[in-house]
Amino acid sequence: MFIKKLPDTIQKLEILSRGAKYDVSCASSGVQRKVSTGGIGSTLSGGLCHSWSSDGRCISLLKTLQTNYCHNNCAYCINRCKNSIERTIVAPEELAKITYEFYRRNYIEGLFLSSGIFHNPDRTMELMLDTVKILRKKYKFNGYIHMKILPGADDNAIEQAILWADRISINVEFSTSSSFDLLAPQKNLRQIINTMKKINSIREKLIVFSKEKGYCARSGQSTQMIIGATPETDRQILKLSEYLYKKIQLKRVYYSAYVPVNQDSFLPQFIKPPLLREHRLYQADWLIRFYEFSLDELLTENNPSLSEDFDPKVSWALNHLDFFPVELMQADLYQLLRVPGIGPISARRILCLRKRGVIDLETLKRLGVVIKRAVYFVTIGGKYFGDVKMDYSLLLEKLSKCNSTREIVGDLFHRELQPI
Amino acid sequence: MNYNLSNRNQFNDADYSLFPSQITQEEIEEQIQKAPDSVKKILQYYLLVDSENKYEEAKFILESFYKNKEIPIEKIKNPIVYKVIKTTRSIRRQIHKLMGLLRFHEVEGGYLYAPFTSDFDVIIPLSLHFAWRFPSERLIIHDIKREKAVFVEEGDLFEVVFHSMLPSETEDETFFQQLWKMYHQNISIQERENKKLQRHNLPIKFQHWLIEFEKQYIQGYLFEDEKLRLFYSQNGNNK
Ligand code: SF4
Repeated sequence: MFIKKLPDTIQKLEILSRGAKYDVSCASSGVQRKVSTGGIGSTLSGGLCHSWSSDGRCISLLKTLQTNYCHNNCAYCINRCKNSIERTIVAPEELAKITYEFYRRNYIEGLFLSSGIFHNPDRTMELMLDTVKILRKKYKFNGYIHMKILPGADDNAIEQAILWADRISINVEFSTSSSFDLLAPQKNLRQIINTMKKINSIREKLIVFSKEKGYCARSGQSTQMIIGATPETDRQILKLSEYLYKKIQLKRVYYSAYVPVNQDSFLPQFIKPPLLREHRLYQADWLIRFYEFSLDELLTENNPSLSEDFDPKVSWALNHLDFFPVELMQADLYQLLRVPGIGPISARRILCLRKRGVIDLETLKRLGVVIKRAVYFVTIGGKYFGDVKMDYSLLLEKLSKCNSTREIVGDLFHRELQPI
Repeated sequence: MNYNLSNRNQFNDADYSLFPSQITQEEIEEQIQKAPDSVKKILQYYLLVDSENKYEEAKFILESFYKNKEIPIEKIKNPIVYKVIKTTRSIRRQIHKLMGLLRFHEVEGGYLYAPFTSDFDVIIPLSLHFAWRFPSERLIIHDIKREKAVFVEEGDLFEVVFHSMLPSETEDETFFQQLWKMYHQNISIQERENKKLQRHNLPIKFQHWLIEFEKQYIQGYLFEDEKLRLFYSQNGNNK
């Protein structure tokens, strides 16, 4: 094959994956599919990690751009047209071949394909679609494909992308229009949200129409927001997430701590990426999606930032001590999920087990409950097991000790997290 | 093969009238296959553990299910049940991890070869996964520690005994390994570097067979035991 002789394949992939790595989405989950006849590849509903890079993030998909040429000049982006960096473009056939060869060696679960905007969005989308179609048709590739929709792409391109990919995404990046005006004047918030809505409705139509067949972006739509480059509060960010989950049925919103790649007067310089803040946002996001918390319970207009010292569930509990203790032998699911240290799985296990007899601390531990946090907020058969009284300042001291030691910041991109 | 319940008092809250006290391992395996999902989920993979009592323990769980209609998780207080549930969980986790971590090397003759080591005897479930995923490839999956290998062709699994050295790697293989190693380094965001998190997700013991970590294991200090090191010095130094 032509590909072997080209040392510049290495160079190209180096340039293009460097341009793509700031997109933090990496999931390969959401669809379970067997191999097609005569083809290669399957997907697992829980996704699969194939390696981890030295920043600790999981590598599941080959994440790359079709090209890093771009006519836009978004201030936060390494590929903006103003930057004088090496530029290149990879031919659809070449990229399809690399993906296929990586896949059969089990390096990856599939392809994550994004791009800068070369000439115009439609022209670029066409190239990306060619790559995806070569993979699907010529290589009969049945693994995972995540495709970006470029801002301004037309309906036809969107429809084609949905038809051939497993997951679709377009990044909203910021939660207020003013940030767009400042940093990405060629894009705007309303337009991106509208595109998301459009993707949603096209996707639903295609799924109904195609019944069992086709890819149809069955694993849904995701997006990403940049954290810390602009003055948005946690509340503003999560407000948008809540809207996207509820109104546009997004599967995932990713939060990406801003890494300063450009010198720009509109952007903070020389900051460390706010990883702890990113971590707290993921935790709050989880509470909203899996723990029946609403945003207004976690953050208010007067108190719009998440605490750095405690995870958002512990913070909530400390400020609502009158809700506790929760009696484990009687509490319903909603009450159990409010207890720090009890997650959705352990809560359901408790409900199933207590019918069979008394629950004790050892059993709770075996069920996966984080005892050292939960113990201050529950009673079992009327008995309280904490070593201090349920008093705000005493608990504050106790919990600040057990909170920080085990938390590993930055691990929430992909895996289900430990019970909060 | 007959199986005797040697240590009865450990299991004293079960009723033995359901199964005869002499029940073969095959019969236990059969019972597991027939059991409802809640039991099967716990026991199916449990037999992959290297433990002397595993059949006894499996039988205990089956019996207490049939006698008291208790699904295993409800008996988590019992030390045997807890041990089985916990072990099964780690076995499942390890199978899942290895599904992602096996690395196939293309060798002359059109084979894809993947060596690995693991704490449990998971070569069969692993091979099945790859048989389903790559139905048109010819695969050799090799558990180095247990000296077992499986050959997969068109979805069928065969046991392999090695009589000779493996063929050498293809030219393409060298190229794609190089490309992958570059990609693996390049995709990391320096400003977020977090080796601790990397090790947390990918413990050193899994790194042996990953070509992207090769540099580290060639130096030799990561090998668990002599056997591994020997295997590698015999078969691996053609790289
Ligand atoms: S359009 Fe995309 S690639 Fe182009 S500068 Fe903006 S963010 Fe970067």
